[in-house]
Amino acid sequence: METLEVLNSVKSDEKLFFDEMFDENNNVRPYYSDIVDYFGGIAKGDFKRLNELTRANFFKQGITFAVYSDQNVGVERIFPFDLIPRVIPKHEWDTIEKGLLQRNIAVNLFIKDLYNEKKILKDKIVPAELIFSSSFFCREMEGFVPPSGIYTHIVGTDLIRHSDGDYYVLEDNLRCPSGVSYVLSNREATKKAFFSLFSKQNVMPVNNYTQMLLETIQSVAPSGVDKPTCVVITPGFYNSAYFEHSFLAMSMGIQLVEGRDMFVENNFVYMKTINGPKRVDVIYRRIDDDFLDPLCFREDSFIGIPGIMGAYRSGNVTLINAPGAGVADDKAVYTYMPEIIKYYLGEEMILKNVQTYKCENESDCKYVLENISNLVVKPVDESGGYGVFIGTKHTKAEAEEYKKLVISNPRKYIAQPVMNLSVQGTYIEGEDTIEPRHIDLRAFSLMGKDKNFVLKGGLTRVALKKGSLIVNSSQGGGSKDTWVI
Amino acid sequence: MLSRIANNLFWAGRYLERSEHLARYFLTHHYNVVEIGTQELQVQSYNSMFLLSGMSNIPSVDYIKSNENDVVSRLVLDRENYSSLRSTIHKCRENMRSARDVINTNLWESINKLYLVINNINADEFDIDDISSLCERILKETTVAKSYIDNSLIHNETWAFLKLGIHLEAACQVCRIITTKLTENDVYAETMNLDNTEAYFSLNLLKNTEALDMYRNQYKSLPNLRQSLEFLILEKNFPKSIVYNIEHIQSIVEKIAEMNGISRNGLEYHVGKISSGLRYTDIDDIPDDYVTYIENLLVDIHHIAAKLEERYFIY
Repeated sequence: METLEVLNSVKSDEKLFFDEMFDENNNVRPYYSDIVDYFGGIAKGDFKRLNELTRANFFKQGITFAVYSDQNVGVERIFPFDLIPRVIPKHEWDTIEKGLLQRNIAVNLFIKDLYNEKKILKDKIVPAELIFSSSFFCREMEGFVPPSGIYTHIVGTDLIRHSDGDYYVLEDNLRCPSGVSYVLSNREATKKAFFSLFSKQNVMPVNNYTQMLLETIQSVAPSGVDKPTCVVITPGFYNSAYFEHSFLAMSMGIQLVEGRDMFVENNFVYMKTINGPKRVDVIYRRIDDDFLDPLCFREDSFIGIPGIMGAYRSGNVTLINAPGAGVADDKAVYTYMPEIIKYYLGEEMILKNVQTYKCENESDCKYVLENISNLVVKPVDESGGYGVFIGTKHTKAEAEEYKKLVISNPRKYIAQPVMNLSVQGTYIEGEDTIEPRHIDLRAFSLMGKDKNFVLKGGLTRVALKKGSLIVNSSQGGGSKDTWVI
Repeated sequence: MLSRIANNLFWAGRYLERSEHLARYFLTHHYNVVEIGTQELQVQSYNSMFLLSGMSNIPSVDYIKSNENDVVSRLVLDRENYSSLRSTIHKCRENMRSARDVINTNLWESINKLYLVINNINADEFDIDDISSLCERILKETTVAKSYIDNSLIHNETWAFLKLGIHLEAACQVCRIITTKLTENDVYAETMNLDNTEAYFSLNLLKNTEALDMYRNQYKSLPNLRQSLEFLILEKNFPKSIVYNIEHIQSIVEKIAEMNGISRNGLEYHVGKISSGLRYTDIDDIPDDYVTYIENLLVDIHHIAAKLEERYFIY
């Protein structure tokens, strides 16, 4: 029987990176030993069949995202799923969890301050022009505090493990972070495929997420509402994340609505039911700020609810997350996170930030332009890996072109050193081996009225292409189940 | 329930039922094409498929004769063709997907599986010989999906709107199959040299509506036109018959009104009138011009859909 070979980073000449499975002496890390033994003992043919079966199951369940071809024909794809789980030992996770909670609490206080007293700006901890020039700063939120003072009910934080073995925060995603449905679906898939392995590992559960999400949503209902009617709003089933929207609504047992199902009357929000209008109290919106209310933001939006900002500011409906929360996940604001945490909580930051050069600073900009080939340059207001320039992967001519973009609008760009994303054994289709590939982690946290929650594990994203550092699903990435043991 | 979701469920039910009828019709006609000798009749059989699927651009006789594979592909797999079997199943899934949060996983996966059965087929590689296995799989998957609707959903509004779509479409499809077949009958009678054209025609009509075995069970005789129509229109205990489906529409419409505390008015009255009319009709009461009778019945059924839309779907 020919079994799978589990390659480590030493064998694959990737010594520069932290190998999640193997230590520097090429020994299997203790918390991975069962996994390496298990997969190393599986016949190649059996694993291949299991892999195909899992893929077919994802299709059968409709766990897909939509992409659009040149002919504008919607094609559904599954988010590639790698069967080899990523393990995070409990003691490491405890630190991550503490760091995430600290960060979320500080960010929330920061947003509240920005839209009200603006103390942090007056004290010149964060430059006011940085905030007011952010495309995510929402003037309609000024002087308004949402129920329980919570702006960021749902947060997705992107983390990486650098070659020094430490975890670093790459990004805070405060605007409709997506991906949690894949965490739950991936867990079901690994449990099904490797029940005997899974059951021995004491993996921390993730299936409590939707219950916690519902409790979070209900906890911030407008005052005086005992039994709130909560809904999830989606742009519609052509949206690439529609699977997640419907999955979350169904798992929480609440209605999935579209903008056209809702209307506002006398500053109250209603949905159109077969039995007349029904009042809605809390809206978990998966629509960007810009499209939320055509009367306030983009008037060409067909997916929003006209007048909803009026109802929101009157305290008759709660929006999750609050509009304008994105001002704090601007990549330039990110660089001030240590100061922000210190300012509001009086604590040192637990999770590290990646060193970041702000191109709006003349000296930083000069450094970036001179060292662009060794840096990763990112637009501050883009997500999904779009517009990212990785210096080591581009030609000199391409670098010169990109420099022109930076010079034309320095505020739009930040730069970071090329971070050595850790690697982890990943099944390589076609070659039938388990080889190291770069990974990151998106962790999900919730902030409710009296309770905060961090999902134990999160979504490990993997760059399936050898040597690639881009893990985004839109650019050829896949995902893994994440086991906190 | 949201008006939009009620509409989606209604249409998901309709397209699911339509998929089943189209698949059965194509399957029966495929065997027919194989069986019958003359090319004229084979062309007639394809025309019949085009008519039932509601396509406007029926290819010319010459085209059908020389491009059989393409003709079948247009009926079954054409993405551009709004009425092909693939498009019908696709629309069923899209409507069901819009209502994903109110149905259960079993039903969703069965609909998704139905979709994948046809969506994974490459039209360029499709061979005419594959049609029977494809249609049989579709018939199986639609049956599975319908059984999940009945056996795994709460019989609440979600179930009710799905079932309304299914029963309404079933009644429409049986009407359309009868009229299509009655119209064709004359062509068959002229062209085919059969001892008993009526029996042959009736046999096909019953096969196309999955009614042959139960007909035999009921009448213990060779099919004839009068009895076939009596069975398909007026047999209260046969799930494919028009009266059976109208009676179920009546009961569901009343159930929804009761669930929502709505007083009965135009919709319930209209359905009740059609239902009572059928219940107290004997085959001898139906005039010899069966086509006109069925066409009028079809108009009445379409009015039910319009009244449903007016009451529940348009906000």
